[in-house]
Order: sequence, then structure tokens, then C-alpha cells
Amino acid sequence: MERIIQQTDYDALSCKLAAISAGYLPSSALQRLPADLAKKYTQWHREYLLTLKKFSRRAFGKVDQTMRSSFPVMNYGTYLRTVGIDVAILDFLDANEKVQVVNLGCGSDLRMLPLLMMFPHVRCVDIDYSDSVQLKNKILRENGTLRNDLDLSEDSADSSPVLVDQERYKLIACDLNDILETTRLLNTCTSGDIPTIIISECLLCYMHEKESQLLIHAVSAKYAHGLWISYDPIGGSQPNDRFGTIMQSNLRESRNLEMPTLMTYNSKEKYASRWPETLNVIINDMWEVLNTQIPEIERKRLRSLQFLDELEELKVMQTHYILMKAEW
Amino acid sequence: MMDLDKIIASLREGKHIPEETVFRLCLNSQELLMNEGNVAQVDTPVTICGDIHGQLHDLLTLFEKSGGVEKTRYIFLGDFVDRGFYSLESFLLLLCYKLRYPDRVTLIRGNHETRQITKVYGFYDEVVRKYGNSNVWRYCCEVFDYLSLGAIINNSIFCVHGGLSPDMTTLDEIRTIDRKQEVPHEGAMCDLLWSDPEDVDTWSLSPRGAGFLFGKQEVDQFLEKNNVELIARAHQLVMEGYKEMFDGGLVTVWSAPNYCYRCGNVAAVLKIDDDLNREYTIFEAVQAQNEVGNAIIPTKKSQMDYFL
Repeated sequence: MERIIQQTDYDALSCKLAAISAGYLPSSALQRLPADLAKKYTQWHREYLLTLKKFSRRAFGKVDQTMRSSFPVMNYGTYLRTVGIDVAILDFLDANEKVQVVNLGCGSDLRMLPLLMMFPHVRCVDIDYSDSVQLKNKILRENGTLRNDLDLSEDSADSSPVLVDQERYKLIACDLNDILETTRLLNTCTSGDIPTIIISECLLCYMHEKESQLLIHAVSAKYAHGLWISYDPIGGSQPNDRFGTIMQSNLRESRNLEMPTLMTYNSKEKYASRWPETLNVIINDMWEVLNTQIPEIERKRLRSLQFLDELEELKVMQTHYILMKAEW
Repeated sequence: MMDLDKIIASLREGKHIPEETVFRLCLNSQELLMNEGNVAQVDTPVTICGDIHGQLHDLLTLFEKSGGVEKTRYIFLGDFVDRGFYSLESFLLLLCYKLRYPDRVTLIRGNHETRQITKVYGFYDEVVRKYGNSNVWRYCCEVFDYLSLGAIINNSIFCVHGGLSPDMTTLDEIRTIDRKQEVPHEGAMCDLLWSDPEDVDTWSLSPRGAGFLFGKQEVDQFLEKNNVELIARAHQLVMEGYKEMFDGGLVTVWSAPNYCYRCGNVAAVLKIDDDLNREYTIFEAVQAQNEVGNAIIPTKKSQMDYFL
């Protein structure tokens, strides 16, 4: 099961590369990237893919093929998920100068690169399964551009589980189902007094209820002031809504992948109820994000990239994914 | 002469059709379609079908639930290909039926029946996967260029894939289009295939990037000017299979159940009888089976269209 979940990172990576390749990402306006970093954004992701080829031709082949056949409806969704999370991060950084960004289940996400370059007082912590971060560690150190921009040495001097142990960037191997190990590592690598952003992007959906609730409560209790940003699918709660059950059976049949709580937390309200009541929670489905948080000029830019063949399908899909922001 | 019944039997089982056979099918289809008008004339009773999108097994269910081509007249409103995994078989099956029963099948062009869109949305890739080259895709695209742009049932019901165009508001104007070409990015031919009805006061820009949004006023004017009572169109996923709008002056028919194997919608076809009464038949997706009864799982492909 662990390996099957890790492989979903290749889906996320190929979706992101496809959205970059079709011009959806980066969004200089919403991700607030200066021109040089917007260019870098594309470069980092391309270089990451090219270097992946050196370590796993199989993974490269899968990512490359999926990337080439990604439909516009998927590119829209990837855009929304990426920009939605980034805007939430940037808004928090506007209000707080010294911030820790902890990416739980980071996979191949390269979000730390622009953050470290744009915000000198930000520290980033990436955490994921050992196999995932070991591969990421190898790629970041092997590729010249990534290595230089992160100021890494070519050889991995740091020892497991902290594979990169810099002042401002840490890459940590940890099974997030193991709550004792997770809290131990967060205690050594982060400080409870510093305002902290927690990101869980398609992480909780693969965890069992008990482990995910333990993680939410333990991690949010660790920091005095924080923002939890979570992106996940929800199964849908309307009586004739079959999206979630079909999704579960498709994922089970095609790749033996389980989403244990998809139908438990099947609405925005139920999903938000997973965080302590004292937190200030805002939750939107991604269709609402598109229609209320993406400015018309940006939507016009998206429309010009590819013909979108089916709007209702986009709506059906995006109403089954949510972006939650819980601040305390 | 080709043995159409044999090809039909193979297609219904999803079997591989030799490139040479596809070539001849497409050539014969072009000759037949060439003689049809931009707006095909159709008599009642007739069953109107919406988007199919390569969902072959659901197309077979559609025929089963609605009488079958041996007994029933059909209009297909386009979007035969793309998205599903059997675009080629679905399109060829409809062409075979058209050749075998020319008076019982009318095929209208959808926005997916173009070279540009099929390259993005799957039909092109499917052909290359199945044949190792793109020849068959090119033969099919040649046929696309000859498909009608609309149909008129008993001079009373206008059928079109997408909707109306601000550039051409009468059937006679639509009849003057030179349709034998790739669908342009703008203009009346494009609008007929791309536009959508919406609660708007007047013609508005479409969020799809092509065609227009049109409202009740535009529909009422079109109905009156052309002396018709209904516009039947497809083009938009409807979770309930069909949706009437503007006091029944327009209907959307959607015939691909559980669209893209994940949307969870039901599908519908609309039967029009001799008194122009409307009767909807709803049907659901069934698990496809191969010849020995094992489930075919179309989701077993490298790409999974979920955000993971």
C-alpha cells in the first residue's frame, strides 16, 4: 500500500508538468513571481523531470507519457490546486515575516524553491516517506540548477532521516502515520513559537481516519500560531451523487489505491470538522475557488490557452475537491 | 461490395478492423454524406441521441434500449469520438449503420469531429495506439468534413450539436455554408458546433473559448423566424440525461452515461413521434464485458484522470 500511495506523486508531478507545458502555470500574477523566477519555475520542473530519468527510467516514462496526454480539464484542476495553495501561503506571508512552511507528504513538490528565494526569513521543511524523499534528495543534488539554487553539496553528507539539513531547508524521511516519530522530528526541526504553515496536499485522503486525526491534532497543537492548508477530494454528500463511490472503485480496480475517508468526510462541512473547533476555518470547493478567487483577467488568460470541451465536467470534478484553510 | 454486416459484428465486439477496410468504409461514407444538405431532412418517428464520446459499450446499450437501428430511425448529434476508449469503433459502427441503413441514420458533426480537437482529446492517440500510425485518423477526419451541420425533423424541430450563431439566424442561411472543411475557429459553422444556451440577456462570450452563449430571447426569435417549435442539441453534460430550457423551446440531450467513466451521470435519448410528442428514455452505464463474459475495465490505462 505504501508504494502505491508513493506512486501518486508521479501523477501529481506529471499533472504539474503538463500544466506548465500548456502555459497554465506558472501564474506570475497570482503566484506573484517576478519575471526571472517565473522562468526559473518552468526550468526547475523540467530539470527535475530530466534528472528523474537518470534514477528511474520507469517513473520517467510514466510521468512523460501522462504529461503528454493530459486533458485541458486536468490542466485547469492542476492550476487551481497549485495556485489556490500558493495564494493562501502568500497571504499568510504578507501578514507574518518569519515563517516556517512544513509540507507534509511533499513528494516531488518544488514549492520550497520560489519561497526560499522570495522570502529571506522563510524556512521550509519537506517531509514524506523515506523512498520518496530519498529520490527527491538524489535529484536535487544531482541536477546542477536545482543544486545551486538550493545551495546544496553534490554529495549527501546528511544522514537519514534528515536528508537535507540546512538552516533554511530541511528534507526529512518520515512515515506520517507514525505520530510519535513525526512529532519527534518536527520538534527537532521546527520551533513552536514561530508562525507556521502546514501543507497537506492530497495526503490525508490516503490515511486512515485514526492516523489522520492524530496527525491533525498533534501537529496543530505544536505551534502557537499557524495556518493549515489542505487540499483533498471529497466524495460528495448529495443523495444521487455517485462521484465518490465511482472514484473509489476506479482507483481500486485500476491501481489498488484506497481513499479510506473519502465517503466519511464527504462534504465541505464534514471535512472542515476534522480540525479543532477553536480554529478559524475557511473551506471552499475548487469550483468556488475558480469562480470567486480567480480574477476575470486570469480566467480570460486560461480560456485562451486551450479549448475547454466540457464545462459541466470541470464543475463535477472541481466540486469534489476542496481547499481548506484553518488559522489559529 | 463490402460485407457490412460482418464488419458491424466485429465492431460490436470491439475487434480490430484492418486499415484497408477502414479506408474503404470512409471513402464510401464520404460519397454518401456528400449528397446530404447542411441541414438534413428527417421524418418522424425518430430518436435523437446526444454525445457518445467513444463509449462503445454504452452506445450498444443505447441501441438496445431504444429499439435498434433495424426498427428505429436515429439522429446522432455529434461528438462520436474523443475521451472514451473506443472512439474509432464507435464512429465506424455509426458509419456502417449509415451505409447499411442510409434512411434510418443521420449523423451531425460535433465540435470534436475536427483534426485539431481530436489531437488534444484522445482520438488521434487512440488510433496511433491501435494501428502504429495515424492513417486511420486521417481517413476519419476526411469523413468529418462531410458530416451535416444540422437536421430538421418534419420542418418543426431543428437539431444541431451546440447551438445558435449570431451570424446566421435562419435555416436558409445555414444551408449556404460551405461545410466541407475543417471547423474554423470563428463564424457560423464554428458557433453551431460550440455555442451553449444560458440565462443571458443577449449573445455573450462562451467560457469554452469558442462559440457563444445565447438566451431565451435568441431562442424565441429563432423558433419564430424559422417556424419551428424546438431546438434539440447536445454538447453539454447533463447529470439527469436531458434538460429542457426556455419554456420547452430548447432541449439538451446527453447520451454518454457515467461520462469519462467517472462523472456518475445517467444518459438519455429523445424519441419524437408523428405528433411531435417527446418521450425520453433514460439509461445507465453497464460494466462492459468481453466475449467470454469477463469484465473489461476501461480504467486500466496508464493515465488516471483524478487529482492525486
